[in-house]
Amino acid sequence: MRRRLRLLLLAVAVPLTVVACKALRSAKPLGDMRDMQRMIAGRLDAAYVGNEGCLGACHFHDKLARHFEATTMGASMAAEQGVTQIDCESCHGPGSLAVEGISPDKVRADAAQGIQTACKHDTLIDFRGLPVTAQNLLCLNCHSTLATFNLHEWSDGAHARGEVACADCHPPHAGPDLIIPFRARSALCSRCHEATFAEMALPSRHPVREQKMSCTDCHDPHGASAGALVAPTVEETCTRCHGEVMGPFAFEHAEVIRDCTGCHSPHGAMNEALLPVSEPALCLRCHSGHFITAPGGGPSSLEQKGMFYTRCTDCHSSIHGTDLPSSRGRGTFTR
Amino acid sequence: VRGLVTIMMLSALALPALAEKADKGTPGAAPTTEDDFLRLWQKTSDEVQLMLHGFPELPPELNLELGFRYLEIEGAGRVREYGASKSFPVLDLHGSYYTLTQRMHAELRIDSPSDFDADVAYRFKNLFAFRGMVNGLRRNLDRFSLVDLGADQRFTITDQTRAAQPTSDTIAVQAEGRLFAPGYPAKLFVKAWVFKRKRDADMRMLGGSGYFDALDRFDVSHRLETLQTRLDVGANAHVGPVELEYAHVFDAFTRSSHVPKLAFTAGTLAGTDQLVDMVPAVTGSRDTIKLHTAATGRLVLAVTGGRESRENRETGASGTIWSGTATLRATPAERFTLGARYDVRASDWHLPATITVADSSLNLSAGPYTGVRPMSGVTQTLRTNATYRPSRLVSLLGEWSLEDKQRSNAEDWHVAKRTVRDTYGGRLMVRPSTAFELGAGYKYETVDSPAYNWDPTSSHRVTANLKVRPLAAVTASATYELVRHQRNNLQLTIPGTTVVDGAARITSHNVFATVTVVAEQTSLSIAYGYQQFDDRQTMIYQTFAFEGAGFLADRADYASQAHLVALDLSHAVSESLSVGGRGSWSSSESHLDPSLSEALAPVSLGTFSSQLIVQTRVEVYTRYAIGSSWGVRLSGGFDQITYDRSQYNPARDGKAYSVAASVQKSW
Repeated sequence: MRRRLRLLLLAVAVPLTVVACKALRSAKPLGDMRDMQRMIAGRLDAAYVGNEGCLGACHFHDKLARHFEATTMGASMAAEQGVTQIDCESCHGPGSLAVEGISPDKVRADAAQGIQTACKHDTLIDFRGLPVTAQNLLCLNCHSTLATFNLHEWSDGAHARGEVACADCHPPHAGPDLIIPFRARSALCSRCHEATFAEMALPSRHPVREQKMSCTDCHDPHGASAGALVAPTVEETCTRCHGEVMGPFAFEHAEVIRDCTGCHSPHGAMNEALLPVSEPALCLRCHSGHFITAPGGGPSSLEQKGMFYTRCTDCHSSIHGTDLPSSRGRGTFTR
Repeated sequence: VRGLVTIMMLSALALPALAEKADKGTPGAAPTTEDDFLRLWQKTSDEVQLMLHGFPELPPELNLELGFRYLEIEGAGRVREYGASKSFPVLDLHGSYYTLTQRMHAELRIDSPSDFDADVAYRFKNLFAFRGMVNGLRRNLDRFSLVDLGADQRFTITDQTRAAQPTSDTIAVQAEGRLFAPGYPAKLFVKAWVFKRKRDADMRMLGGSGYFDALDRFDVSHRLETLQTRLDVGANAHVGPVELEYAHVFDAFTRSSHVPKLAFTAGTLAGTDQLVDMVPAVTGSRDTIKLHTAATGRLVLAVTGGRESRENRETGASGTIWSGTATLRATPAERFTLGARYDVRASDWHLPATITVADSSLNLSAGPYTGVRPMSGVTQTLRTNATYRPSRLVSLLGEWSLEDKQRSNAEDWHVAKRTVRDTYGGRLMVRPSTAFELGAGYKYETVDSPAYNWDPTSSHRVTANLKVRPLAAVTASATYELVRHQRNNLQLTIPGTTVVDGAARITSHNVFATVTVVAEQTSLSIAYGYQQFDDRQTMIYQTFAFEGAGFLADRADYASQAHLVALDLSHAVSESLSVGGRGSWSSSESHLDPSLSEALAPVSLGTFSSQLIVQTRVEVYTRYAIGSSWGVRLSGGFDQITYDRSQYNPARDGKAYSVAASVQKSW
């Protein structure tokens, strides 16, 4: 009986899946940008000629085109793939006017004379001349509708609002490999965030300069739910490596462990453990200092002062939280 | 999950065979040089068309660097905080291989057995993509010592440290595999994160005592091994007018079975061995659903919802967090954009009424005990912003946000039950030409019923940045930030009570300036940074045996400042010879003035924490190319760190010298 039920379920599930997949395929994956691109280019009379039109006319010997063809995007537009979603005109707009009057014969004749045939670029979209938001829209046309969820938060992110262009970090014709290697990531960020990198020269810091960490380990440049492009929360970002302070604990340091930046300065600090304010001053901002007077009055001794006012964590060593009570049964983080 | 992983592994195994088959179907080798293309002209137009769209099969590339680094460290190992602390052969390997069907990029660097990294990316057609990164790191930790300041027998120090130079070795592994639906934007993905750490936990702690006039302090170290794993499995797809993603995350944090014990000599636990530094094992999971519309529309909507659970495996403490986010971006007019975002996060934390450590092998000598009920709550945030671009050269941005935080059992923690934070901000960006950029921003924040003392009652933040390029080869930039916090009615805790009194005023300045010159054969960059922080606030000190409410010091002052100078130079002497160097110098100092006569005798208590740290780093290098594929690289480095020397702050100075030589070869 159970076997029959399973077979029945299978018999229903398979056709349903096929129908669902077919329905999915019929849903348009890309919005129609064609009229919009004509308007951006300022030439409503331009027509789309496809890769054949562009490359066949003059760009077939262009290094930029060849390098681009070797990228992941280029691989998608190669004829063997049978994918027609991406081509030169996806970014550059309709190309009929640019290649008007240009033929392989003319290009060959020009090449024989050492002349590179001039393409009428001004009829195409002036990509880098567009406002940054418009540049990015051309990228987002595919990259927000092709199940690329790293751009889920892009529209609300600091980079989108700060008019950072996609091509600033991902130049599409840079070479055959558009992947940003791990070691190169932070250098990319430092081009704009120089002051933040200066903080990483302070005595206490993360190993970003040594290329052992990159900015993207904590920040999502494509947008993130928490401020400063930190995803999804500060606590989760930090405990990804510092799991020993994650909790929940039997004795917690109030809500302090839910927002590490209350005590720590993650880019760099002059005090140990990324503390912008050193102990005991940091702790004295909220807590009272231990005995400042001696039995019977008068100031406490040198030894007592040295013990209580060097580093609070010398005794309160599990300051982030602990499951063990102190010797007097309280949660004072002493073990 | 197993099924998904199996499908992905099988797919990965099958790909090379598929690739071979696909390669056979690919037209002949595609042109790679200009000459190839010119030769193509001689062929028929049909052939040309066929070749034009052939993938430009690039030959494999491999770059190898092999050498040896001699390293000598004097004093504290922390002078080279991150990286190898001993001489070792070095290896750097970089390879790439691109064909239509298979695309691969690989990097490997080894500096020592504990310092290495690798980055591998592989893609098969538009069907499968993999990215894996491994990163090993040695960290030379600071070694703090407890200082015995006198002959008072009531205060003792027991030194049980094991490692003269404590270290921390970590290995981080990130991997991501994506399986794409052919010809349709949908995919399955698996992401893995593994973080393993072995650390000399160098701890100072209270060894027992019971009272503050007779303290036994311990300086102990033990080897702590922890392992953190995270597996993220999900799928996303384009579905009609929207895109949808679902992901499930498994989280686990475990530690080595050994938990150190300390013999307590006094106080309520005198004569017993007690566990210390018991890092708990924690497990958790998370489900997330995301949905968004296309980012090219006039209205863009993105919604995220999630539920997270977490449990402490030692005590049974647990929590559940529900979170939701909705963002809306609207472009009602050509030059005007509006954005709104709503976040809600509700946390519910539970602690068993009595706690018994779950792992009986830990042999906790104290019986069941009670913890402190954790704080739960709901935080809602609404952020709005508007951007107006009156021309292509100018952008104006205005922001307003409101955060409302409600805490469920705030009375147990003596903090406000509800805190409301209002923030207003504006920013102006002017780019009249590519040679000039100016930005200025202002943010004002008010906090109603702040819960913690670092939160201000009101706060002002001013930023400014300037970038100019007076000559094509010269770029100069400068940034400035001023932050001023004002806080009234500080909550100062003293055992048994909370005193609400006093005020805090924090002022900080950050300045950074740099000039870069890029000439034909030389590039030079000089940078200067300055950071100043000043916190004047009321502090509270206890009297002996908690007599009275304690001493309030109205204007205790903590001040710090840091200077940084950095220089980077590179010069191409000839086509085959290049030289360069970089160096930095930083000086950081801080001091606490307790502002109370009892805190100043016999010495100011600020003396124990004042510090001056000076760090110097210099590196020079030269590279000589032999032909087009060989090269030799020589480099030398010097690092130094010095601390202020006083009887209360033992010096942790160190120097490091390094010399490295390597041979480079490209194929």
